[in-house]
Amino acid sequence: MSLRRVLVANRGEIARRIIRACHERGLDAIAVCSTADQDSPHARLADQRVIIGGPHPQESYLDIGRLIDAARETGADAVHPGYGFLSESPDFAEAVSGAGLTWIGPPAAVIARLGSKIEARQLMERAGVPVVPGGTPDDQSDAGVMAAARSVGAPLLIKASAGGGGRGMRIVRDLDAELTDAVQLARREATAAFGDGTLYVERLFPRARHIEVQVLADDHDQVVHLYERDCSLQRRHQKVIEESPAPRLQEGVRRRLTDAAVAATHAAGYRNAGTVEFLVDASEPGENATIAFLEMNTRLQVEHPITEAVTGRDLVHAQFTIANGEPLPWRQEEVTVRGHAVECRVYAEDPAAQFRPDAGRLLRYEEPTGPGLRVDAAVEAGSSISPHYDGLLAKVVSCAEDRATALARARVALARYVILGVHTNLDFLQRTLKHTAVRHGAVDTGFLEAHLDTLTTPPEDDTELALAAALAVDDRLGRRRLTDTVDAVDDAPWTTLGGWRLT
Amino acid sequence: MTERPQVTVESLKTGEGVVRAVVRTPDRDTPLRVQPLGVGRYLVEVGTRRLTVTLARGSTADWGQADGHTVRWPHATQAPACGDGRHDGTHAAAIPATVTDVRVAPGDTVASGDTLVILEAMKMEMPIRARRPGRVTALQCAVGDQVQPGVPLVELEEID
Repeated sequence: MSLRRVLVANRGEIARRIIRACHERGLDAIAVCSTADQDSPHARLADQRVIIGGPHPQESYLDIGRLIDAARETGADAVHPGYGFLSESPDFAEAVSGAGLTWIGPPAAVIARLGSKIEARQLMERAGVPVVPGGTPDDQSDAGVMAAARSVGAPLLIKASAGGGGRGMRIVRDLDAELTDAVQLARREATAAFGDGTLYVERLFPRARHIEVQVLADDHDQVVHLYERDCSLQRRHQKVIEESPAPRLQEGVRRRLTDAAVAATHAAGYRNAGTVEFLVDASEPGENATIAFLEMNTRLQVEHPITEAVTGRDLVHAQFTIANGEPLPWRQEEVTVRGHAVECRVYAEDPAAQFRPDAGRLLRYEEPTGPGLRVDAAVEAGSSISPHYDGLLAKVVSCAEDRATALARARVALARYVILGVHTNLDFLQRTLKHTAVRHGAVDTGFLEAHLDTLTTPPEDDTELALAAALAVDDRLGRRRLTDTVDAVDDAPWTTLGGWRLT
Repeated sequence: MTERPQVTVESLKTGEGVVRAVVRTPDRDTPLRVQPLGVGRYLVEVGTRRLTVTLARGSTADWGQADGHTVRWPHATQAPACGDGRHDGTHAAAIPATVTDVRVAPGDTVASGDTLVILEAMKMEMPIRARRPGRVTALQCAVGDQVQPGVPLVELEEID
């Protein structure tokens, strides 16, 4: 049973990336879009597009009924969920399978099992995968969670079992002063965000790296890992810059991570592409660094291109192969890492204004190109950035034979990237790449928050002056073009200035 | 910088020639060379730096970008001769320069706009003017000094 027509239940850069992969495999691609997105690049790229509802995600990209209807109406035989939206919804996976369509991802039961952080944690403990020291209290009363917290000891994290992205999470450094409030706040936040107030506790590692392992599992009991990605550069638990391989990681630690990831994948009965996230204690670098399972993401990740860059394997193609029931075309020993890759997430936001998201129309847009550069963009010249969605404009992925060159290549690409009409984090990304600690590969997940001030200060004066001068000259040239006067400009300013020496 | 600083365009020839411009901020004038590269794109030389600036005109604001840094100039607030607030209180060069004249001495009382120091860079003179009335408390430069951007040259104390 081979796939022919794939409905891509997503938008933005990931929808474009999946539609391109469909075309490369000779598959028809069907895009869905909200009324706000009907002329967006992903909708135009597909062979067919279906407008499924209003701009608010609840009316369109999160509406399972409408998505299934769209798949039926267009004769789709498979659904790719991308990342975000419904990609980790067991209900959506179930609905797709129930409609007789192929779900390009893990089975609904696996998504549900790993979506419960408590259940995932218990599963991994049984499989011998190291987990963060902590507790999953059966007694879910405030007193029960607090007792579990006291047995773990401070500093610790109160986390939501249904959580993600830092919601329903609280840090406790002082048990007596903070624990009661933290449990209640985490409970309220988790209930509001996920409709599930179940909590658990984990020891807090003050200095930790976030390193994750990409895995693929087919229907033929074959599990392959594609090495690691270091995603320690985060702001508010959102990844900003990722790289592969992880810098300054001992070979033995890498081996423990990939072994644990493969064991976790087997233990979960996993299928298709997934990511096993680990914490690596940065306070004890070296071969003995503590590693601990955090969670398993049951989807394609935003940062998958860096793995593709260093392994030379196309993850979306692999997802289709697996969904078709075919065995993975390569074995573990054939997967090797070559060179180094870095991904920078370019957002429509203003770092100088607490990273406030920005929206608007792109007045000018020019992507950087060149060897070793891949730009997966959600937008084109003239695109409108809607306030309804995540502000990810593009991912700039650079790849080179060594890390220093990959970082330099990313920095130069960001400097050449022209995006006018919304504020962006291009400057912030460049400053981060230039920072000594980043260049030395010596950062932990607290780095960005600790250095926000220096990374968001305005640029040197002469950059501002250059901008002002160019604008003024452009004003004059524009006026000249309009009025077609020749040379008869700008006598007046001489009277306002003294001491000019012409050469 | 969300307001347009006052910029004096010194010479403007037809075609692809280099344009000389001076950006005037409350405390100083900075000469630059601006070379058109295409529609809304310029190569700007300021001191020893060369920056490619890209511009776009919108209905409510104009936008500029250099080296990944973005500026939005709203149309509604085209204020004249207002500088960047970040220059407050500092009397310093904007680009590396040489001190050619010092017009004040410690103890002198100056009025707003009085010339304090003359710098030279890119074969042009750049006066550093007092941002506000005050008394000179310290001179941190002398004729012939090579000075770096942002380093205070003169310190003023407020007078009643």
